[in-house]
This record gives sequence, C-alpha cells and structure tokens, in this order.
Amino acid sequence: MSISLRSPDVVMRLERMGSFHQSRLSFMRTLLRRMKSEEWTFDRPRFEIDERGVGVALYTATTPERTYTLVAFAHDLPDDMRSDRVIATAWDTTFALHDGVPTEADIQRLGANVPLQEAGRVSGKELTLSRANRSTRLWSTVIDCLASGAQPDRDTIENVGYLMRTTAVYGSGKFGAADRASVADRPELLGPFQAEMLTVYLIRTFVMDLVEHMARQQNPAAAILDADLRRCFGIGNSTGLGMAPFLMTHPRLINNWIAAREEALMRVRSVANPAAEDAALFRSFVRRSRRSVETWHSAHELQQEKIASLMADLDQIEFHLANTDLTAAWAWDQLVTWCEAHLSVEGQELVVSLLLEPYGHLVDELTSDMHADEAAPAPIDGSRTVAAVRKQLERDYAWALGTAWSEQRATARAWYVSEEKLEPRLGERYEEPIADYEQPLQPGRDAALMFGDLAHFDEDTTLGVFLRQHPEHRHTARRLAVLATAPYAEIRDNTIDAEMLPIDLLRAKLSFFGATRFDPRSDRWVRITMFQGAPFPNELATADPDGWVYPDVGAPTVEDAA
Amino acid sequence: MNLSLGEFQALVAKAFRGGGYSWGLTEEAAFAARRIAEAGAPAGDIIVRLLDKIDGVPLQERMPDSTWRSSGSGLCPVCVGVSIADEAGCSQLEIGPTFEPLLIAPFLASSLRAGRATTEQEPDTGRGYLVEWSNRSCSIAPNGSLLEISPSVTMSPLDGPVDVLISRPTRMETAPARPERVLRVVLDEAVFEQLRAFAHRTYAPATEASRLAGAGGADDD
Repeated sequence: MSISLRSPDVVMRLERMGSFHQSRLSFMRTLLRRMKSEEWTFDRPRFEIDERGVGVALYTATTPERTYTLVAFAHDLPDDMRSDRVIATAWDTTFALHDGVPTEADIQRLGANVPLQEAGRVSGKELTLSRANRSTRLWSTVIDCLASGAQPDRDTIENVGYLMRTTAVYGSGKFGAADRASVADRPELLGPFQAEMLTVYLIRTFVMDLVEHMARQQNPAAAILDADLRRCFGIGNSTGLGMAPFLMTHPRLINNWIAAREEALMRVRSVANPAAEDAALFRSFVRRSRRSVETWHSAHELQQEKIASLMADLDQIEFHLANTDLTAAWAWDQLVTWCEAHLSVEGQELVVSLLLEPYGHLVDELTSDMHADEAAPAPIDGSRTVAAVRKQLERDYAWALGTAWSEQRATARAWYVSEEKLEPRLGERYEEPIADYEQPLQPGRDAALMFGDLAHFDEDTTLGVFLRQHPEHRHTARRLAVLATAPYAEIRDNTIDAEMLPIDLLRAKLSFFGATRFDPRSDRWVRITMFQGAPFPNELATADPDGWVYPDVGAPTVEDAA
Repeated sequence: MNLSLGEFQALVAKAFRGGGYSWGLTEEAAFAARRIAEAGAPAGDIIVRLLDKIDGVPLQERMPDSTWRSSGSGLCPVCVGVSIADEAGCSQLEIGPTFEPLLIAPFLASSLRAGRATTEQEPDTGRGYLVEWSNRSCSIAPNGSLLEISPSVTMSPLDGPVDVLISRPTRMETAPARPERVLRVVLDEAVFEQLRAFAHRTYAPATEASRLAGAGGADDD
C-alpha cells in the first residue's frame, strides 16, 4: 500500500494552519535534542544583580566547537510602564545573545544599547536581541512564597505558565545583529530560529535565578524552588501582527517546514505493522496530552470553543482507541482516516503531532531540511509561455480564481505599514486611506489579477515579454516559480477577507517554534508559552530531551499496552 | 550607520518601492544591491544616485525596449538586469544609455548561478561575463561570483546614463586574490537618511483605530 502526502489544498488552509500543534520537529525540541546529544555545557560566569533587582548577568552555552553567551540586563521598571507591545520603551529585562565570550567593552556597549528600542543597536558579534517583562500575576506571589520559606502553588504556576514574557526575540541581522548567512555554516545554527530558541532557553534559566535572588533579598533563608516545580515555568511571549507577514514573505521556508511535517506524517502512516511498544507509547502520549489540554486556558471565545471541542475530540479518541488494535496492519493510516471523519480540525492536527512521538528514528532527521536561504529571490524563467503560466495558476490558485473578488468582503482588509511605528498592520480597505500603501501580502488576489491580464496575451507569448509590460505581476511570477518545486509554499486562503483571523497565521508559525498554550487576546495577537516543562541546563544530561512537552502522568499502564 | 546585509537589503527594498518600482522588482533590486555591497562597492551611494535620477520617471520608460534602449532619458539597471535574467543570460549585448550599470552585474551572476546561462550561439561554455561602460568594468566568474570591480566605479561616480557593453570573454583575467567577503554595510549618515526618505514613502499615515487594534495593551496579566 502506498500512502500519499496530504494535499496542499487541505493542509494550507488558514483554519487548519491555525490549529497546528508543536511536534518532534519543532525548533525548541530540535535544539534540546542537539544540546543533549552533543553534551553542551552551561555556566553562569557572572550574576551581579543588586537588592533592587538591577544589574547584569552572563550565561554561557558551550558546544563542542564554540561558546555563546546570553548577556542579561535586569532593570527596575515601574509597574505603569509594563506593556506587551514590541514598541514599548522600557522593560524589566533586556538581553542579547553574544557570539563567543564578551569582553568588558562588549558588555558596556550592549548595556548602552540593548535597553533602548529603536535607537538600540547590537553588532555583528551578536546573534539576537530580546526584551521581557514580568507577569505581574505570578512574580510577587512566587517571591513572597519563597521568602516565607514555602513553595508556590503548582496549579497557580501551571495556569499562568511563566514568570516573564518576551515581547520579541530579534535575530537574522535585525537591529544590526549578525546576518544568518554569516553563521549558517555552523550545524547548530543551520536549522530555523535556533539562535532565537537558545536565547529564550537561557532567558528562562536567568529568570528563575532572578526570582530566587529577589526572594533572598526579603529573606536570606528563602526557599529555593523544588526542581519539579521549577520546570513548570516556561517563558511567555506575546506575538502580534508583526509576525504575520512572515508566513507570506518566506514561501520557501514555510514550504520546508510544512513539507517536513507532512513527510513525517506520511512515514508514520506508512508503517505497515506498528510495534506493540510504539502503540503503547502513542496511547500514553494521548493521555498526557489530555492533561496538557486540561491546563490550557484562554480568555478568548474562539479559542475556548476550540479547546472545548478538543476535549470532546480526546473523549472520542480514547473511546475509539479502547476498541482499536493499534498493532493491526496499517493501524496509523486507518487512525488518521478515522480522525478526518470524526474530529475537529484542532483534534486532527493534535493527532498528527502525537503520531510522530514514537517515531523519532523515522522523522527526526527531517529537521535537517527545514531551513531555506531566501536572501536571493527565486529566478523567474521568462521563456515560459502564457499558456503554461495560466495552467499553473489554474492548478495552484484554483481557490483564488474561484473567489468573487468583486465582492467587498473579499478585499475588505489591506496589509500596510504605518508611519507611526513602522509596524505591519491590517486595516479596513474601504474605511481607511491605506489602499495606496498595500503590501504584497494577498497572493490569492494578486494571482487572480495576473490571470486576468494574461488573458489579453497570445498563448505563445513568453512570460518575459508579459512581465516587461506588466511589472506589477513580477512578485506573483516569482511565487509561481517557487510553487513549481515547493507545493506547500502558499497559503490557500484569502489573507484580506473580512473574516480572516490573523491569529491563524501566528499560530502556524509559533507551533513550529514549539510554542504551547495558545491564548489569543484578540483576533490579531496571542500569548503563548515556550519551554514549559523543559529540563534546565543542569538537568539535560539525565533528562529526556523530548517527552517534557507533555505533563508526566506516570509510566505507561497496562491499559496503554492493551 | 553600520548595517547587517539583511538590514541593508530590507531598507533598499523599501527605498525602491518608494521610488516607484513594482514589488517584484524591489525584491530583485534589493538583492542586487546586497551583492554589490558584498563585493565591496559603495552600494548605498549607488542606489541613492539611481533613485534620485529616475525619481518620477514612469516605470515603462526605465524598461528596455526590444533594442535595449529606453524611450525616456535612460534605462534602469535593475530593469535591464531582470530582462536579461528572465532570458537566462545573454551573449554579447550592446545596451543603450543606462544609469549605474554596475547594478546589472548581479543579475548576470544570478543567471550563471541558476545554471541556466546558455544562449543559442553559446551552449554553456563555462564562460563568465564582462560588463563595460565608460572606462569602467565588472567581471563575473563562470560560477557567478563578482570578481573585480574597476576602482573608478568607486572613485569617480558617473553623473548620467552611459552605453553598456556586455561580453562573454573566452579567457577571464586571472581572479585577484579574493578579498574577505564584506559582512557589514557602512553608510554615511546622509546616504542612510536618503534611503530612509525613499522608504518612508511606503508608510501609511497612522490611524487611531489601527493603532488600538495592534498587539498589547492588555492589563490583566
């Protein structure tokens, strides 16, 4: 039996992308597996934080080849200045990931820049720049508990999930940092967002040290956090519209992410006779993920509905599994087919992620193909004929050619960059004066426009000739060139529709980071948790670099093996 | 200003958009600017001179016609470059007056790198390119690397458009010892501000409604 990849027409819909979950292929997990297998070492050569919580600390991560250093600055921020916005002007903590071991001069230089927003610049010796604020909900509670000699309440920690929330982690040459191209020849930085993930991982360690330090200021004999409890703290993140265009502006990269996940799913579905131990592992991960879903809270109505339907899905899955032999021939493929018929999209995508868990030996290697160098625009073959281009448009943009673009709702929104803060925004095209400033982030509509203009040309005319007369279609011609070899490069939905939810774009990207507990705060920004449950640097040597994502609910039971 | 290559590329893309180019062309223009910067040319100065010269000229007048001439005052090197790249390279080619011809070179390099550089007269012979204009030149190796940019490109900037000759020499001059690849772009404050001014044209005036709809602003943490 031969199993096919899921079609991009199914996978690349916003509803589904907005239901993706983290998996073995997520960038956080790739990083942790590498750190463990390469036996990275970690150190804290400096921790000079005063009694008000102000100062600098250094955290190093040393690979077999080199050292990276998180330079962490702690500030004394008045409560009224704390904000989730990336355009804020002050933070509780600010960070840079330095390439190597910083000199005193480097630390001075970073101290004069990292705490500033637009004016703050790092150099080619830095890989990332980041800022974070406390969760006021939890910060003082934890300090007070520890200072009184007690441990904080586990449920409270799990419900919030973090002590600090990053507002952004900038890498890849932003704000003067090193270009990705200049470091991508290092295996540990070749995968997507590995420097950013390392930054967050080290920030998490610093934040835990900081909170205990502050408790000791109140009481030198303050308790230290129990290791189990300590791992319940992740790092939060707030992500807004600024991240959304990435999904449209990096088509080759997005293709490589999604293609890796789809290939992984296909490999697991192609297992003809699942082993009993893999079946048992899968059952245990289903149980553990139920526990994750139980502690997943959101104040947003849409996400509440999705979580509720996911819980119902899990009930259905458990009932189905109780009556299913997962070691039967093609059991995984049959399970996927059953899910497609019975579960919500959110539930279907959770099962996709869970199915990869027992099969690291089949799927983990796919992470080595998830990067892409997109600095160079894809070449356009100008010798293609108009007929061939139209045919490709009919194949890859069928949904767009079938959309009634003349209806206002289909073009209700427009993506633009505002003069005020230089942030990407999504506005109402027919209510605001923004159409003249529209960014090229509506591939479907643009493909339909190109298709219309192609109709005025002879079938044998070349694309090169067409583009000289219609240079406004050049970006669409390039997307077609990418799509010729990258089937998952394009979102097959209308990104300017009146009903479009930007949080679907954000979740798709964040799920590949490895984020959990998506908590939309509106239709256009979301809070998430990173590294919750992960082993700390001092625990890596003996820890499981993968299973930490799902709460431990005990070893597989007899029931699992059934 | 000391910029990463990525920052420079992003800034140039916005500047070209502000200068009236289509989105597709801005992507290619910005990459071409990055390539000549990596090769050590004063890319920021070149881009600002180009955008200044052709500001307000309709895009069609910057495009080459079938005889590689402009119907206006001069050709845009990016429009020339993409036209050659779309045809997978060229053999010998005489091009009418063109502004800042160095920017054609990265497109020839890209067509070589794409491995599609064959022409009717010359099935791929492993030849590179030589671009010459007004006693200046840039050579491109068969593997697509920019080899040598004549010093006068940097020393004495051209004021107007000049004729350009592209050829496929059978023997390339031996490559000079390859200098360290440039990893940063250092711009004069004035050049940086001029690029920012072009880029600024792409930004919409802010509205209160859209600002409130952005990320953050919650106080329930």
